[in-house]
Amino acid sequence: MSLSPALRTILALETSCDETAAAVVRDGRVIVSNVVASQIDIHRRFGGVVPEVASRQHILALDAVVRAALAPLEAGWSAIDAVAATRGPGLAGALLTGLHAAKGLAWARGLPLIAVNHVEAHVYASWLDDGSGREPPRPPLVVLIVSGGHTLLAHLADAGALQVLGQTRDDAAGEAFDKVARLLGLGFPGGPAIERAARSATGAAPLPRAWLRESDDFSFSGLKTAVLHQVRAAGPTLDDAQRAGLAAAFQESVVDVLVRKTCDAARRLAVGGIVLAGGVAANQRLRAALLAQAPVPVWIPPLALCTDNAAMIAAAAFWRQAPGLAHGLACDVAPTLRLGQV
Amino acid sequence: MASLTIVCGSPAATLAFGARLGGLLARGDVVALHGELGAGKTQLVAGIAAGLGAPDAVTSPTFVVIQHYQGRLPIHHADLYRLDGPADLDGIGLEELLDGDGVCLIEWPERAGDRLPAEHLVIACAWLGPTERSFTLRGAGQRVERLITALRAVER
Repeated sequence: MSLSPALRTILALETSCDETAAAVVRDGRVIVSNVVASQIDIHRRFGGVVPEVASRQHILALDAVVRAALAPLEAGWSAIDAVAATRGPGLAGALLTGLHAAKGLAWARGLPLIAVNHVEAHVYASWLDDGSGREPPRPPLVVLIVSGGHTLLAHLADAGALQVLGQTRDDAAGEAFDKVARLLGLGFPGGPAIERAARSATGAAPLPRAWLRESDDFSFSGLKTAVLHQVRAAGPTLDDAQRAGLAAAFQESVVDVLVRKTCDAARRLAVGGIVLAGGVAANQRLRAALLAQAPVPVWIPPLALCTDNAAMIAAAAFWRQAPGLAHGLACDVAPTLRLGQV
Repeated sequence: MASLTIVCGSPAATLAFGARLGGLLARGDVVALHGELGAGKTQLVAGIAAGLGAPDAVTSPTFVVIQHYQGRLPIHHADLYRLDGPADLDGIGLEELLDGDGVCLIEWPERAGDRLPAEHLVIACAWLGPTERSFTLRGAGQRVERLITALRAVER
């Protein structure tokens, strides 16, 4: 991947779901600042993200978050070469707040605007310097993106050329965690709740795995239904031990399918590495299993860069400049933007 | 009020029933899908979309609230679970779609309060067993009654 000399320092905004985030990143790699204001406590009482509430919270938080992201810059605005923002996928109203804030900033400062695909940006989190001194991954790579809204396996043959190999046919992995946590009465967000409950499990009958062997696609709806069946069968006698067992069995099933399909794709395409991205990459079982089974080196960003953040948006904006990515101020949000579209 | 209950013994049967229903839907139809998690709502929608000729796989709309597909008619598939109440509908543009030129398939419609059109097809989805689901169709108004009558003839 070649460096683009023109737009080296990028201010990025991310508001696709329930985190209001801004970051400044230099050369697509060095994090100058990375600020995230989480709304998770506000949404917890609803057991999910409420779109209208999320949009309003973004509006309240954006000014302070952007100021905090710019604060470490001694030269202030004059150090910024471009403004980037997420245009999709995500909640329409939430996306509008960040994209339009970015437009206003770009217009007022006479800077170029770069609109970014949120899912693609998760991949570029692995290009950010995490302080480990490790070199960033080099294509060709297989990428597994797992989050609340997305589960997909992609092939990054070269810079910017992300090709989808397979995706979920029903629920996203993170969504399956949320829904199963709901079935088990474990609370929201489901990922950490399931992981916590699973840790106290003392053995559980395995749940089914949907391999869909003819493709790289995933399916988690049947697994959710299998948990539902067990919950129904137990009825009101379902106790904490059974909950923990089901949480563990569910997590093992999801992790097993994700890891094996990713490793199979890496072998088949003879790539040099695997990148794990998205909020579900925070799951310790998934990280451990992938590291143990992968036939090639694995890159996993630190936890703070796996969940939604703006540093990855800045990185994606930087690394995607070479293929040509300038958006006019008339660009619109794209709530159902697919991978491969920008 | 017309009513019809269909029992499907497998996910494939649910898809096939959905496809037959999809084949009968027309511009402006609104379908409200009630039922708990795992009751077969999204599976039924996948069948309906296939019956309407949509080539894309139907995925859960929970994260983005509304997914759009194109078959012989535009298909709007909404999951209102994450909405707090009818006031949140303003944020997602559902009302324009309800008056639009396509078919609206709405999961967790109770979140919309009384904001759905008076005449719409209600489907109560229920879990009977590991693979069995029941779908009870009802609704008032000429269009919905014609739909249920047509479906009863097909399902017999």
